[in-house]
Amino acid sequence: MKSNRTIPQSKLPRRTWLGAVAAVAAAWTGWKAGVRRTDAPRLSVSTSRRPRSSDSPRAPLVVRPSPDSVKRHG
Amino acid sequence: MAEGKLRVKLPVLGSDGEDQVSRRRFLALFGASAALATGAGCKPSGNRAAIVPYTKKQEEIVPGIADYYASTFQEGEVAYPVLVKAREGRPIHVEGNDEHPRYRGKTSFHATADLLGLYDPDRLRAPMQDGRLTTWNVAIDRLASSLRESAGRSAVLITGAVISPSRKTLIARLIEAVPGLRHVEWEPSADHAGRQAERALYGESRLPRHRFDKAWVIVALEADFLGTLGDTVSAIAGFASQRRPDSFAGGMNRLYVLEGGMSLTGSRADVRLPLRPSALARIAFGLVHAVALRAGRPLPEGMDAAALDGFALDRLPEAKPFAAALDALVRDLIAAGPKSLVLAGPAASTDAHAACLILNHMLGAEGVTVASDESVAAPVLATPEELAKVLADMAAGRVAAALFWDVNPAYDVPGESAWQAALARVPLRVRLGLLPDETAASCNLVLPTNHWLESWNDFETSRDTLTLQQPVVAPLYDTLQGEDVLLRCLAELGHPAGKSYQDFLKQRWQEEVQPQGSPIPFARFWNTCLHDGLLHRKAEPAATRVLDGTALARAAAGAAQAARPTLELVLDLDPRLHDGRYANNGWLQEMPDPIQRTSWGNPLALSPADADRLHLKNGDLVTLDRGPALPIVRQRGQAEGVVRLTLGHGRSAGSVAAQVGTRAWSLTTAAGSRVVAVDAIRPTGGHQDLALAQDHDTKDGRDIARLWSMAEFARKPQHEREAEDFPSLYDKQEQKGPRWGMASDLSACVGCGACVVACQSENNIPVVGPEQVRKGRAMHWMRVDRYYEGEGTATSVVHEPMLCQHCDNAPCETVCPVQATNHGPDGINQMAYNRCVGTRYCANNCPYKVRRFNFLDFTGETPESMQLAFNPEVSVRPRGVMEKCTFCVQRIRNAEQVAKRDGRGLRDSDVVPACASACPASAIVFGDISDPKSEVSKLSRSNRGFHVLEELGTKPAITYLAALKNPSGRDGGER
Repeated sequence: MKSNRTIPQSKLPRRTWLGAVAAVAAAWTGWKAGVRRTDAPRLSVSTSRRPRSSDSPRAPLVVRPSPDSVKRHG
Repeated sequence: MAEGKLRVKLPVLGSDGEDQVSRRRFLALFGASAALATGAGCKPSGNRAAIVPYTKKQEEIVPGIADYYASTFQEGEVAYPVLVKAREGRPIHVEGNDEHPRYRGKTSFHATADLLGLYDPDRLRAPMQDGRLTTWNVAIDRLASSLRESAGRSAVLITGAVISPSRKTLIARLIEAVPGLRHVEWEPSADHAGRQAERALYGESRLPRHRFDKAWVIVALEADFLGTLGDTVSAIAGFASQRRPDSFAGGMNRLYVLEGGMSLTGSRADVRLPLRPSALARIAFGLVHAVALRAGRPLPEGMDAAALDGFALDRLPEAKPFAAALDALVRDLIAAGPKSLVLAGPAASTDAHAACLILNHMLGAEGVTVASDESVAAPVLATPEELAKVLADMAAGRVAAALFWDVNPAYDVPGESAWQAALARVPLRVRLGLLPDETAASCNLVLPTNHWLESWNDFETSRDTLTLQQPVVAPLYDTLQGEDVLLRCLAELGHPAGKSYQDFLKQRWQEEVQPQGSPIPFARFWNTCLHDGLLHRKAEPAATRVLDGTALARAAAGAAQAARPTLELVLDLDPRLHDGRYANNGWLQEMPDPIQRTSWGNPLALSPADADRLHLKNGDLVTLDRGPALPIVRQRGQAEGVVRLTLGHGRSAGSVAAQVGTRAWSLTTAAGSRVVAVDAIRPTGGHQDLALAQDHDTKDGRDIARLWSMAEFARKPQHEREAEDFPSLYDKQEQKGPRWGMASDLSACVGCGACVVACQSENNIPVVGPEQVRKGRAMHWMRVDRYYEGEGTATSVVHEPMLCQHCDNAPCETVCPVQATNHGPDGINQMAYNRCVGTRYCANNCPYKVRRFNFLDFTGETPESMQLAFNPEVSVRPRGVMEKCTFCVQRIRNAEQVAKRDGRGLRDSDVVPACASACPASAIVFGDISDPKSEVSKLSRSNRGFHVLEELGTKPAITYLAALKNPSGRDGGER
């Protein structure tokens, strides 16, 4: 037979746990933003003014030596 | 119903509604959110690529071993020979070509910095037609058909200065194939006034070739030959070679500068006369008058002495405040005779240029310091008026096709409305270039060209040398060299001239350059020239030129009538950005102006007297008669009534360049004059903080940079300096092997900043942007401090390269809690980046303020293409880490390994850090200071030697040699 005894549980207001979850998310976001600050200019390029992709379509970047050049010494 | 029962059956203790949640549920949600956050934070980056070994190794590449290629960098009418270092196939550093007899391993810092141009993420990567991606075949077909059908109307090809004989030949072929094609050479930065005067007096124009190494007395009229005028590298090397006397009796040149603003050349003047540009022509003719009168030097044939009557210096009102100095100048010129050199710059009028030419002629300098006999004919450049006529033809609908090749007239032609009107009536507008710039935005066919590090070419700027340009890397994107576009066009038009420009160049060299009847096979000849980067040849000197005296009389009449405006705006080239072509280069934007010490912008320079009158301080905004509000900077030594603004800023295109500074080209006159009359300066009441790299203008009474006159130098002991041994609580450092040190000669240093750029390129130093510079967070390991001495007309300047002093008793080492900075066995103050915890105690304790802290992650999101510019021999530092000069320790270790491999000890010249290698004045010498025979040891014992803040007992490894000044008059010394 099922017992009618109630399990004593302490309750927290929804506002509190939602706040806690939001705090964790905010802390993580802040930490991430601090480590990788994206509005700081990088080497020669300010990311806030990136070139428009329509101006300059991305082509594969291929690095290979020029076959007919003559090197000085290596 | 059931719900109601449940609620009755399972009553919740303390329940007061549905807002409550159980602890278990809360913990579950909290745990889940934390796990999700952790999971999201740990997920692999989408951009991360696997590191794989070479599966198909390029035969040419040995991993870890650098390759060097000789090539050439063109800037306007100058071709600088360079040596490019490549690692794993990618160019990473540019230095001078040591094979070239004139440059001897030195090059322009623009060449070093333009490495970023290769990897610029803004680069055009494929041809575009009407704003859409297209193929090369379609693009060439459209261009060729448009040229073919341009009959009846003309086509125009606008290029920069053509100093390549092969490119010139190719363009001539194109003109043959397209009869209506006009070729216009446009260099906005050219000294049009000087060119015009030369043509009027000599009937021709040759590329300037000045021998500063032979000049005893140099007079510069608004001529910034150390900063912006022509071949600055040869000029600095030649000038500096005459600025380092070993003793008082050693002799030294003397530089007179007459200018309105304070230029780099003005900062190194022995006698500087702050004069308005409008006065220069009259004063120059006053000098002609005085030299003719006092020395009895004959005037050129055809010139009537009466034309000079009104120019006696004692009667010219502008000359009166400087009577004594001008008198001494005339005496010096007469005494030096052929070893004089008188120059004028673009801000001087055509008449002032004419007077300088006649002075050089009268003094016998032509053929000695003015080596026009070694020079070749200058390209026929269009004047601004001539370009305006071309634009007018376009606006009138007389042009069917316009090609803009490596020029950006939309940015640098005065009057935007004229440009827009011109372009509107041209059916086909073609841009051949590297970047989507202002001109490309107005064109319907945009063809991406190779960077110079991906290109073939040859250059001829002197009679005895031809230099070659060869690609160091194959084109990174779907681009073609501009010449290859023309060749394909020629083929399409039925006039094939070669399969590729490489073949065209080789063929021309085989037919025209290789000496006739040479027993050497052409392949060997060609490969040797490519290896060396140049070809020496025996050349007959050019014919002596005859000066037309009648033209001079006209110039004298013009000078007499020159207007005297109340306020004069001088528009000078920017020593860093030139005419704006390097504006998208972060290294050059962040490099501080050598005099103003501002970066990221071009404030308007005012004399302190003018600024006081208007109650203006640095950064206050003003407006001129037209144009936007400009921040001002108070400039010591500037003439009253003169305001100065540099060109090259205010671009509207480019992810780095756009909206930085003011576009000064819009203020030039239609005739291209670099001096503009201004009615008034009006403060707006606004303010804009300047990105200043140096707050202190003076030394504040501290003996940290020495500037002596020759008379003071004569009073110093003329024997080797003995090192002072200050008492110390620390034990003496034990040396094992060499003790690396440096000597920096402030007398030779002109403050150009080539060392700063070379250091930045070599050591992966990040660009931080204007906001961070304003906060004092610029990351340069090396800076060139500028200190003023004296006030008003007596203002002198000393430049002092400042970097880590690698002290024996380094104050930074003793305060580091984690031993991240420590003392190496060879005396180097080392940094272990991965040990640094970022306390910044070291920076706080460094008296030289040369340590740099990564306040933010400046390199973390470097674009893919820009990462290729990194030097793999130097760590890229993350956020929270301190960094500073390492004496280019990677070069030291490389040299040690090479010496070990060769079974020998290190030689004195084996290690050359990037700064020393780049310095065109050879002011920086590096080596082993424990070896008394080394060059650096000898310099360290010089009687001009001193250590900065020596009294602190830090025992720095860098010795500075006092700057010397050689003024005329009582304080001056004899030559």
